[in-house]
Amino acid sequence: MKITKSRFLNLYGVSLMFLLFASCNSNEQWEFSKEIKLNDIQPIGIVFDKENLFLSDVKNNRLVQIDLDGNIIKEYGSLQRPMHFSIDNGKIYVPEYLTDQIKIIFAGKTENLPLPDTLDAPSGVDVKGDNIAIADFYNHRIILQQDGKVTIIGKEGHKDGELYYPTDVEIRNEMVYVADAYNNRVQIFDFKGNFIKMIGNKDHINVATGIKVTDKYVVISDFEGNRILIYNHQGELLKIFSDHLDKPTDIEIVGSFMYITNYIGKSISVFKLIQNKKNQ
Amino acid sequence: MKRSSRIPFTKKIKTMSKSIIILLAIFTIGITSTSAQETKKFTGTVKMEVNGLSCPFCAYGLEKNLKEIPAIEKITINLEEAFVTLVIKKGESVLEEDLKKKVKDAGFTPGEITYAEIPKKKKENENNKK
Repeated sequence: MKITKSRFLNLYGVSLMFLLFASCNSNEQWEFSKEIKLNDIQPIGIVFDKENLFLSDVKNNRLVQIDLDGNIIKEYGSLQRPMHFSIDNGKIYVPEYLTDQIKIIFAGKTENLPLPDTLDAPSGVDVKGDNIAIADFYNHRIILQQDGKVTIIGKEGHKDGELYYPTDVEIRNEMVYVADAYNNRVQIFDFKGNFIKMIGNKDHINVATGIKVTDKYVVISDFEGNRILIYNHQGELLKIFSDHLDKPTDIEIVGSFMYITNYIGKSISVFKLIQNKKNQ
Repeated sequence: MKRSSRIPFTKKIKTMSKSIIILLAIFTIGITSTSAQETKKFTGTVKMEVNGLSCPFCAYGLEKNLKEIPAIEKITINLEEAFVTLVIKKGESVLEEDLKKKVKDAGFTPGEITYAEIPKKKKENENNKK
């Protein structure tokens, strides 16, 4: 039988989908690995960059760089209630909840990001190259800045595409993922601000405070529900963690490790991805 | 009916006016106490219960709103037990209604406001009594 180019592509596509489906199934297990104690750090956001973890310490108005044992390597002070921050190309972008500014820390200097409009309590920022997304908490919207172009995403409300106190935002593959905290869900928008999809709205999330998006997963921290929910990009719930957490606020995934910040516990819970070969 | 008809007209008027005076007095006391409540001023350190605080973003949002009151020196929010402790600047006071408005503006329901510490003057008076 002669395999034409189109038939080959079809077969390749089907095989790839099968592999993706198989990899998202139960042969992957997240297991609790350890807890990193943070002493007096009260963390909101967590970002991994160049072998170190960075945390926003909201209580002490600073950002800290720690090693994987929780020891502080460096701190960036004088920040007014720093929330979900972002690191891009060596620059640290920090939303200051009290001053309504986004600070840029770079080469020992701190400056303000020019903003197209007044913010009211920025709770999260994500920067990917020329794309900057800001969660504007009390204005119930996301501001997307792209090389001078500004798109306002969402407005106050509870319907599809509307937001109610968004706390965190992430840009991935030309999509904007929003932790729509008090609508208890994640919403996905395209760069034009069009509503694309909703995740987690049927899973009784009780304040979605943080989000992490990878090629395979959309992970949500449920602060009040004291849980972490892991979804695939189709919106199927793959796993829920409820043990070893103490009011989780954010998630970072590095290789096969997941780091979860605990606001009340003042710690990081580390989970490890185990490939269960017996079931394969 | 028969009984009332026996009461003289002047006495009737007197009784009625007495009742009106009593009613007016009750009404006036009511208004005074309400306005006194509305204009209640706090000094020193105050503890305010807040309903609806459920995440750090709420807590610091409340802080942001309360910071707009210039007389407040320090704000400490207890998220787990849902109350705020406010230290008011020396020689200054804060109106109860202003505190409640800021809590409402931040999206929460204000609860009871009490002194976290006995105000200095009150404390001195109590010591003098002893």
